[in-house]
Amino acid sequence: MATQADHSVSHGAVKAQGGRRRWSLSVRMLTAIVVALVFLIPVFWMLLTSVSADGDIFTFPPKLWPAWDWSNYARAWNASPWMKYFSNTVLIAGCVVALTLATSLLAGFAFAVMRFRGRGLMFLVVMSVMMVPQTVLLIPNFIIAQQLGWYDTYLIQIIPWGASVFGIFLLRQFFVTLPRELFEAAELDGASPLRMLFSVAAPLAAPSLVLVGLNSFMGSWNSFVWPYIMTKSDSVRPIEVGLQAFYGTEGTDWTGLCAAVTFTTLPIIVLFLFLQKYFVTGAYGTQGSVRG
Amino acid sequence: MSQHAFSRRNFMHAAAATSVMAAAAAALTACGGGSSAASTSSQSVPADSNEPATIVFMEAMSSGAQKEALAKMTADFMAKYPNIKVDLQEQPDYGTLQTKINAQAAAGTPPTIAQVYGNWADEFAKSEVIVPLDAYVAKSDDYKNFYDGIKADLKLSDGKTWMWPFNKSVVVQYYNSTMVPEAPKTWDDFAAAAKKASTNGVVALAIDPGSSSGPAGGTAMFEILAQANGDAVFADDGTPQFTKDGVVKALDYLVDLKKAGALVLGTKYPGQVALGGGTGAFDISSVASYPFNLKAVGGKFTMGVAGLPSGPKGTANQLAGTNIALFAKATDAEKAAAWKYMQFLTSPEQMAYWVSMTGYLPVSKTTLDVQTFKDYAAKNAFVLEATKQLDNAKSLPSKSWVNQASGSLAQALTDAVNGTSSSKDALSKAQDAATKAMKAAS
Repeated sequence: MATQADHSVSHGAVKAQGGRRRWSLSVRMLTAIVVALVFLIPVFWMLLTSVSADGDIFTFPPKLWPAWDWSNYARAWNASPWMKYFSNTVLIAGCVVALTLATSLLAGFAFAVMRFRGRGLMFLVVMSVMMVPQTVLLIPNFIIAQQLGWYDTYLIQIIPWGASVFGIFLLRQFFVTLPRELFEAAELDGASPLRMLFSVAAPLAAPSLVLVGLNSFMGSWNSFVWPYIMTKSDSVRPIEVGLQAFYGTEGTDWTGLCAAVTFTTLPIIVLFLFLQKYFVTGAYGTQGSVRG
Repeated sequence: MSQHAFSRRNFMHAAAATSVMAAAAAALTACGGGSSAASTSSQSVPADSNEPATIVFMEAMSSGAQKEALAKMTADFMAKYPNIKVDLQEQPDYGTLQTKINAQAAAGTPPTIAQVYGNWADEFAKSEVIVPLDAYVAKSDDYKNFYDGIKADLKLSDGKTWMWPFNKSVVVQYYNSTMVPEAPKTWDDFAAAAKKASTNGVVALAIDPGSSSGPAGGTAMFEILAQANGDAVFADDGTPQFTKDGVVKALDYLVDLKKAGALVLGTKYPGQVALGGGTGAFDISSVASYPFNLKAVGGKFTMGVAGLPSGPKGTANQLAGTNIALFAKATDAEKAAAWKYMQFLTSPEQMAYWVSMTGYLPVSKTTLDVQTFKDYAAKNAFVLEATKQLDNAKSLPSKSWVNQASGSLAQALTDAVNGTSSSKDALSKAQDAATKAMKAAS
């Protein structure tokens, strides 16, 4: 009897636990679907608008079956030298990412691991840069760019963005969590600071580096004001500048803009899909890599 | 397009422009002294020569028909004058244009000519970055044919002519003729029509007041309403007078529309969006919005266009759009070439083409005789009515603080319409802020 009762109690408990799990899973799935919809609807709307007729884009309720006006894409494609803009953007973003990774790694390591006079103060000075609004510096920066002969070049779009306070901060915060024994052991083996950085610290920081790289890439890809002010020629301008061709002083060519945004956003979406695992790990998983 | 139009655009351009103003002013003052050439050459028009010259025109006609039209007119000019090359440097909006001109002027490399608003020109003139054009206009055959409002708009408070007209417009009413069969003639009629049309999910009027850093078209409408009540929001010398009866009444008018469900505040051309989507009955905006509004409506109904209704003190309107300024750093050959180009743009034939392409208004009376304009006006009768207003429409005073002061009005409009403050209190607060801005600028 007792065994039967135990069994039935245990069976009931398992059943209840299974029910709770299913319920919990359903709630999580539902939440995930809602959150996904929140992010996907604007993308869907953009795609819909990109093939809509002009008169349909403001109708409410919106037309879910568009006019399939593919001429919007042709018009958008002809509005700007996209291939040139695209190659410029890839070049600029690539260089900015490489420089940012290098400077973040070096500075983050120095501030976290190396001992030198004024380290804390220097770190504070670097951090304080975050508090200065970039717009205030625009005109002085423009004058400097002119004096350096960098106006309307790739250099002005790369060099000033080759160091990121966010990147330095993130890497520094990661490196301070690493056990000092790691570096002491390396030192005993005769490793120089650079060797310690590249052979010990950097491999452990891979997820953080991916996060810094992606952040830097997206910042560079989406950069608008800086290139617009610092350049004048299509030959050196990035993709975001081209999108301005659809904004007017009295209105916006929404269908053309959405078509252009679709084909200029695709590369960054594809990149994110390939790297999303690292992105998430980099953002939330730094503790795990320390334990490893 | 209004002086406020830039702030209706995406993003922080307006904020950026505002943020750099202080730095720009200082930098401009610093570079202003370098215009000894300016003070001499401004007294006379450089002799015409066939010397090759390249001029840089910094402008914001960066999209659609405006870009296409300006590019064609420039190509035609270069074909006519093969020794002159015009480099069009387009900026995406007026905020960026202002920032870029400020930056280049501060760096000592301004463009040859640029689109400017009066309040920008005021700063540039004080810093001797641009040259007065009195000697130039004295030699111009076209100048005498300009509308009186246009001529007045080219001057600054010192009485000198500092600018040459380019893309000028006034505000008109666009309406859904299915919802509103006939354009209201008075603002009282307008309110009645708006309230009547606001049923079944329709909110008759949507406006964008803008923000404290960048007032937009909704604030321009409010300023026009106040003027139609007999009280301009700024005195001629730019002194804010936001607490005058006419101004308070104008804001009460908008609050009343909101309470009746006939007004909604929005951003990014909300009137155009609502009119095009069939959820709004009116759009009060620039005459140059016509091509965009037509596109938004897309033939779903007949869009009516008419002049603004009149108020107790008659019809009021705001002259909007930019002029062109000539920069002092240019060489004599560049100045001569730029002057030729500026005159070419306002020649009746070119202006007629510009109007027919963009919806902007002709700046000279002789343009009305050109067949291209006649054909355009035959299809768009409203343009004649709007053009008549060029003799009387006034732009906001050309003072550096005016944009910031209008920003205070935008904030007052938002607060009162959203019910967080009474019209009087909101305007009193705006008056204090605007007076502070004026004192700081002075």
